[in-house]
Amino acid sequence: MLRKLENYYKPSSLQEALRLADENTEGAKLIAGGTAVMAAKNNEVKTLIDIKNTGTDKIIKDENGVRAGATVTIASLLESNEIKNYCGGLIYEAAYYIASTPLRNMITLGGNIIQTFPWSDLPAALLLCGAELSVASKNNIRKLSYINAVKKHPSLAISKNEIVTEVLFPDLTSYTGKFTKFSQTNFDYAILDAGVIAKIKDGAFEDIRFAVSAAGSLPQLLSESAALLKGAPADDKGAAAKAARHAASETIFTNDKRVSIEYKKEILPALFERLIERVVKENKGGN
Amino acid sequence: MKTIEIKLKINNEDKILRVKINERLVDALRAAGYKGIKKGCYEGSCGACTVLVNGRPMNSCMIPAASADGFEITTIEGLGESDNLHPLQESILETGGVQCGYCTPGFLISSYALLKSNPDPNMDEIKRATDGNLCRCTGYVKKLEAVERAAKKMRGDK
Amino acid sequence: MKDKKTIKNAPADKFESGAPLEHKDNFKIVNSSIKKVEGPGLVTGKPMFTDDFEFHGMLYAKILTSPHAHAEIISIDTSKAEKLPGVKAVLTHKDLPRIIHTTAGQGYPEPSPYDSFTLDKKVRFVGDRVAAVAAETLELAEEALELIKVEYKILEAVLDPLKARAKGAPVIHDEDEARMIIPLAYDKNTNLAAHAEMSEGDVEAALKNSERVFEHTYESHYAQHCPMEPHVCITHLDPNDRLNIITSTQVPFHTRRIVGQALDIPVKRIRVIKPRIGGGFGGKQEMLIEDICAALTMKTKKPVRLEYSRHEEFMSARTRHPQHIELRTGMNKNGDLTAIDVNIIMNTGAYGSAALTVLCNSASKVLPLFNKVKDIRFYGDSVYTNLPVGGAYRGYGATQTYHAIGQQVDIMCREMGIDIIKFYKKHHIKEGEGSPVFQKMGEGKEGVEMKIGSCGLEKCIDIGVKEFGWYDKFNKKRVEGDWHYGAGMVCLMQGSSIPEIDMGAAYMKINDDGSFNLSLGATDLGTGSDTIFAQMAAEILTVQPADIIVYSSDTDMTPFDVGAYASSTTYLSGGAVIKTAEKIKAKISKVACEMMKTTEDDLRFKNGIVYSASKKEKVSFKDIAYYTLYEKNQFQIDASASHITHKSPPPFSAHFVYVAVDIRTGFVKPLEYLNVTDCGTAINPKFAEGQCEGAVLNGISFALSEEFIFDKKGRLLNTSFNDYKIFNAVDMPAVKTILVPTYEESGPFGAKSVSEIGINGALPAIGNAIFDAAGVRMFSGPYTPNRVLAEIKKKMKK
Repeated sequence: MLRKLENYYKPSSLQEALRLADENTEGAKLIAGGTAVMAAKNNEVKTLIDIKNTGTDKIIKDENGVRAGATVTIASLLESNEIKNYCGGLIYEAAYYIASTPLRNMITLGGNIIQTFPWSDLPAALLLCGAELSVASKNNIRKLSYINAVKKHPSLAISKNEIVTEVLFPDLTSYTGKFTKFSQTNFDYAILDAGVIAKIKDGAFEDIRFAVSAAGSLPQLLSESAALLKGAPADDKGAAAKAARHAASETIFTNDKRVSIEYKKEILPALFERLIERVVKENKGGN
Repeated sequence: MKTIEIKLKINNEDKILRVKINERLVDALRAAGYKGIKKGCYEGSCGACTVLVNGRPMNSCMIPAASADGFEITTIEGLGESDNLHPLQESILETGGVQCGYCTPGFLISSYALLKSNPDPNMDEIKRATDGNLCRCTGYVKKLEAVERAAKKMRGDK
Repeated sequence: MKDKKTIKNAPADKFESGAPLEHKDNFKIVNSSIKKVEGPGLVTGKPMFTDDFEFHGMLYAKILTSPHAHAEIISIDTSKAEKLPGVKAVLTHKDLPRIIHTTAGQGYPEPSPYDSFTLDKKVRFVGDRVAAVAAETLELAEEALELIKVEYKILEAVLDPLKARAKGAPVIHDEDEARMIIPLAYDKNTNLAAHAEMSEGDVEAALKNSERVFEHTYESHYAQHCPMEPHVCITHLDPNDRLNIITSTQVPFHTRRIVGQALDIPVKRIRVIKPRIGGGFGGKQEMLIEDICAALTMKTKKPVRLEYSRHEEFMSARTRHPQHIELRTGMNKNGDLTAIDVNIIMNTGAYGSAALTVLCNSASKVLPLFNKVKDIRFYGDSVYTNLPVGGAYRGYGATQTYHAIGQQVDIMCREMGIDIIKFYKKHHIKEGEGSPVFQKMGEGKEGVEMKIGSCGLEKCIDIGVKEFGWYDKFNKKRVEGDWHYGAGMVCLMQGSSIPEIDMGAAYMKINDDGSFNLSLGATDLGTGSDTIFAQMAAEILTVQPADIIVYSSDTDMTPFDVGAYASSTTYLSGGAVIKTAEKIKAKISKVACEMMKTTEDDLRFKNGIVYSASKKEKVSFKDIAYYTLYEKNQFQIDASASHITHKSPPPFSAHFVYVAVDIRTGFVKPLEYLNVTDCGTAINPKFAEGQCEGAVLNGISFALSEEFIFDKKGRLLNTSFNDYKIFNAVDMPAVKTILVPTYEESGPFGAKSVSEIGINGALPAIGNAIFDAAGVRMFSGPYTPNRVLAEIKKKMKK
């Protein structure tokens, strides 16, 4: 409950939202799905700017890739054929196990990737595909790669007067991606999230990327581990297992009250091995 | 606490509610007499407060009432009357899917949304659609069966 | 469930009544799945629950709780909170009489230690009460809590139950007043909250003479009930200044008594109303919040509402008592069980709610199942710790012991090469048999000797083996990639009511139209008891359940009942309903004779009409009602009856589960779960199945996911559904229930209990299935992926 809340704005255009964001940098917070704001016990927030009606809720495909508005809900992502078909279903799989049906109707793409809770599922998938954010302010629009956004927490990479309007999932036509969420129950925070995307040419990995989240406080790209597989034959299970093992040592883990770091280290290789296997399998099926 | 006025449609009726600016929609609706909406956690994790917002099930405890201006809301009170039950309400009584009944309204709202978009769901789809509605009494078996049964009735199958 | 061929005739004199039972083997209303009587109201969202009540000028209460596991309150400064506009009352221990009591919702004299004050100057667990506030809004009440300044002297805490009784351990209840009010073992100076033991034969000698002795230690874990409706009550003073308490409780009459005791208010000044309850599972068999809410009303003279948040439910409400069980059993070459030796240390947390009785039930609801064993020893201590408080929870001690013995049977059978199915069929208690445990283990006093009147367990096992495909699944070593499959089973019993202790009463009267009001103290907490009572009364009076208007419970309006616990409502309160309905029927008969000028043996009852066989005349119940209310010799046809039980006949059940274990992550996926249950006659088969299914899924969720995570200082860290995960619809396996009808002659229409038994199977059955799948034994719950993987790794190292 926001005890000190004084203003609730629901602008009907992006311009108006940007103006309000510009005028209310002190004690103001953007709200879209609302799930993070409502769950917080924040006594500092005086103003909420609801950007649900700013028209940033479209999903379109163009020559650069798939563009999804920041206020697109998780449910809408899952209903979109563009997202289903994107990169072997990478984003679809990452979105599929987020929270529950009613919450998926509320949680937004923008909210999920900007809050970037340790257990958030989409951020790792965004890292894998090299997503790019459009960040608008009153007089400007800038592009921010998601990789840069999560070097520190995204909230630090975006100023108070800025609004993320769109996520570009760059064209990855020749890639296949798979994502897995490991959790105790279905409607649960991830114990570990892992994703792999790869481009396989002539039976070998021309490019491959690993990402993990729910391990540390921020999602991580595991470039070293993925590099071990670059050029390796796609069916080389030994190489895959080696890279998967390396992923456990490359990942930075922080404490999780539910399970030990050792446990997470123990299971991460299995998750990556299975992901690689699925990527390879689908790639074969696709040819 | 500052209050504001919101205009919205609840169960097809135009309503004007005066709500506290920081109020949750669940509390505003209950205060307006829609007591069928229950609350079990205030954090979006139990589903007792599920209502339809513009046709989609959402946790009304996670929605600021102030944002609801212009919303079309369906609550359990909008599904059917005691003497004219919706097939879902009828079915869940027939299968024995109501025990304490506290989670029932939220569950029915989620199921209602499902059957509107998918008149012939399989069991996995029913489970997925109601994955946000926790129940401690029934073990879900007879509730899920009720959704199947209602779907059949609504399709006119034998 | 339409097959009633196995149902035997009930003796006509089963109940002391004016008329014999009809339809003994041809029930019309009973044993059919009618719809819930209050169903339409529930599915349309009518205001029925406590929080749906509105009172003008109602205040909102909030409780300040302790951040420390063990501390003395040196000082409390409430002045700032009191000055906050809108705050109407702040209470601390200084404002209330210091009256010791137990919060356990049990009959008097309670077999739980008196160790609680409404507010105390000492706190004994993180979440314990410190102060209470009533304010005009909930936010103001919350804000006021932040303004209360408390100075604590932090004391050393006891966080390990195994060390609670060690020399020099901090004493949790060092107050002079703490005591047991009945002569039972209690030693607050060594943190002993309760003790129970029994012995039969010579266990040591029997073990010595056994072919093999099996000795293992099992740990069962904390769990929360998680009713979807949290604890909530509204208190107010009625126009006569009587304290009215509207509360979501399983025990309205005990609550009235205990609130009166704790606040020193005469019982006649208190009225407790139980509206619809949103689930309880034992968690609401407790006077948990009513006293403090009432105290705020007494201080302010205003209606006050107190509702626990979900966080508070986890932090401050009751839990399942964790048990440390050291179990020794012996077996002979031919697979006969020779001796059972159970040693339990039960963690009751900071207060001793049900500390003794849960322990006793760990013996009495489990050990008699193996009644062929002549040498049995049971020894248990309930110990205080500075951790969350135990209390009644569905299964009530049996759940914990079945975790141990249900796995030990599997271990023994495996290691001795015995077929577990044959073992259970041979060893379980049969009809006509008794067990010394029944007599030796009561609840706060000696138990009751009893012979089993009905037992369908053998049939349950046979049906289960076939339906589940036991021999196609068990010990098959099926492996698919990293997934290893396995099956496990367990057999169970429970009880029905607490014999010679519990009492339930009913009251009935006829209305003008020939309908009846049936008032009961028994509390329907979602089980459907209001409906099954309507079925029972309708069966006897030959009317429809809709003609019986059931009301429960209100201490001013309904007769006494101990409440909903101990698997008693159907069996105990059902007995009262039958007696009452029969008394009504006798009165109706008398009037019908008067009206038709005939004799009782000439009367036939059908569909609410009384026929004279000889005169070809008839009078309807409506005619009779009009006659008695308006016409001649006017009087109200009404009746009341009470019922106590002399035995606690066990329901029986066989559980079968099929799981897959991911041996690289330790994740256990339950695939199929079958429970085959004998609850006597199911008064409402669908409701009975629902009880089984709900209990089973709660058990599975408890076995695989639910746990309390504490920090080093005893603070519970996962206090929400976000991190205390109970199963949702997607998590569940295919759950199936098969009811096996038997006829329990001592029960209403042959019924026994069904609500608790189903929760006991998952821990042992899944434990056994994990072993079957992955070859690792889970001695400690829950079987979370990290725990299972740790065992798999240990095994691989060997």
